[in-house]
Amino acid sequence: MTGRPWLLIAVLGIAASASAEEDPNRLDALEKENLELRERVGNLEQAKAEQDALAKDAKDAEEGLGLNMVVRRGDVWGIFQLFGDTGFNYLSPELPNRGGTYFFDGTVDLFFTARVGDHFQVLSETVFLSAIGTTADTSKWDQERLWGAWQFSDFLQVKLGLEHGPISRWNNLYHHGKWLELTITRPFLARFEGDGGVIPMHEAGLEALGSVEAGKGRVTYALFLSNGRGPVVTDVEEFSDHNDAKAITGLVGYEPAGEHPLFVGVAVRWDEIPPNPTDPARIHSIGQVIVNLQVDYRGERIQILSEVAWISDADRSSSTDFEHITGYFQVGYALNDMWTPYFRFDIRTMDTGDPYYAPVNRDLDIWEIVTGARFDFLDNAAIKFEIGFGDRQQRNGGGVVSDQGYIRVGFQLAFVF
Amino acid sequence: MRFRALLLLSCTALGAAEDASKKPPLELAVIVHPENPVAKASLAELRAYLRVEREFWPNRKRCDVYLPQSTTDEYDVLLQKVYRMSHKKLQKYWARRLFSGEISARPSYVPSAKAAGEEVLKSEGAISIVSAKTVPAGVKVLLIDGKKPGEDGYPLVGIPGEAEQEP
Repeated sequence: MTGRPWLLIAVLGIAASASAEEDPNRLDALEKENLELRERVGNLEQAKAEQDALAKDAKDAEEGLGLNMVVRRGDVWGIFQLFGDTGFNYLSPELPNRGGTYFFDGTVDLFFTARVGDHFQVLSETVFLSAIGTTADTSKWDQERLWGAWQFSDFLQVKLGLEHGPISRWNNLYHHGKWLELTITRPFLARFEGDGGVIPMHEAGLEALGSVEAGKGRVTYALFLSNGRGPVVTDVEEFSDHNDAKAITGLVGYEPAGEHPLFVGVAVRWDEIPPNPTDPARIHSIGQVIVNLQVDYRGERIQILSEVAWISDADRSSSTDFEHITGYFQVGYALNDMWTPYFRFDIRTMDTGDPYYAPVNRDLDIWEIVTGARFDFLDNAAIKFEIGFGDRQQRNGGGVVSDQGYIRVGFQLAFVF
Repeated sequence: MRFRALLLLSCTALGAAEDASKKPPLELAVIVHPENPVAKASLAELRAYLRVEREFWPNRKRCDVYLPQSTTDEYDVLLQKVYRMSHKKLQKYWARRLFSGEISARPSYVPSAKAAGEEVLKSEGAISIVSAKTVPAGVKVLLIDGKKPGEDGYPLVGIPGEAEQEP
């Protein structure tokens, strides 16, 4: 028994010496393995960080304007956007029953468009807006655009529904998106039917449009068959038609190829305005023809937009023809990425007594000079400040027409998300 | 005399710093699906496709544009050579055209040449732009103005960082 501990010690000693010989190799192997693993983990971490950065950059890049409310599911692409504006006005002389200064909430414009596959697209524009009433202000919502379109090719797209007609370039560029407009106010030519306009801005019907390359540029065209205008100038006829005669609007435009977009176009519109059963002076229809010349140039700093429209009304009740002209010339100059001062000359000359326009006093002349500045303090929000002054005709209760000078100052905050 | 020497030294140093900050020219390749019938395009035609003025290929497939992300050198050269406007202006351009109904969707962005290749191979109408050095496998590279990347006179070559700044 006394010799056994020595035996044990001897065995342990041999084992220990064997282990000591193995350890350096094992440690080397472990260390090597450890280094390899650390390197792999490092690489993986770096790759992940790079991927995350790329994904974030890509998302930021795509966001661009607003909240980037874009959805893509398979073949369906959907985009939602919201426009809005609010502001302050000073008017002299003031509106009837109102003070000369007032704050206002402008419009909230909900825009949605979706494409399904290569050829089908739908678009909707709904606007919530306020209006100055006789005694109290009112708010309402309007479906401004709602259409579905099949695009066969660049040359032909067929669109069915409610759309802004091609008669006005301004209308087709900006619709109800105040943030897109350089100025606070629209020119007389492009005012809406319910806001003093003399040209129809909305059309319900069937439109064919497209473009084709020609020479060193591109020819665009549009042909719109629509319900036309109702018996009164504010009636858009988006749900029904008072007569079976349809309005036809045609547009031909040319865009020369070049660094900066230029568009020159002419639009013509024919309509048979139905009689007005509530107006004894309107027992027959009015044949209306509108011709509109359009120029739109967007240079690096200068942007020019100008339109001139000639309106001819053949009143079959009185066998009288009335002719009206309205137009504007607007120029803006971008000083930098934020400030764009602008100027506009705006005029509407009307033949007094046109039974279609006279009931709402739109047969009266008006001209205005507008000057102001737009300040894009964010990518998707702008402040506009403008002054307008001019002269307008007004009709008193006895039907006597007189001239009146006026001035207005406006401030607007417009945004898109 | 000492002042002049100092001025000269400063100017030389500034010039050297500017040269050092300049990136080497970058050449872009225009990639499409291998089945796309178009093999070559003029620079004007390419502009029309990438600005979505032309929305369809001759085979009536819709031309879906995939742009490099806006922070990349490829995007910068693309702004110089094709769009000729700043990134901000381009964003407004898309917003206006989309809102007016002129286009049904704005271009998408891809984070890498690999992702661009994947999108192009996935859709017959897709078109994208990558660096000529990182053309993904399997795609077709368009000739622009009759030239391919690397040839003299190829138009899609630019120095990153020289895109139009906001006026």
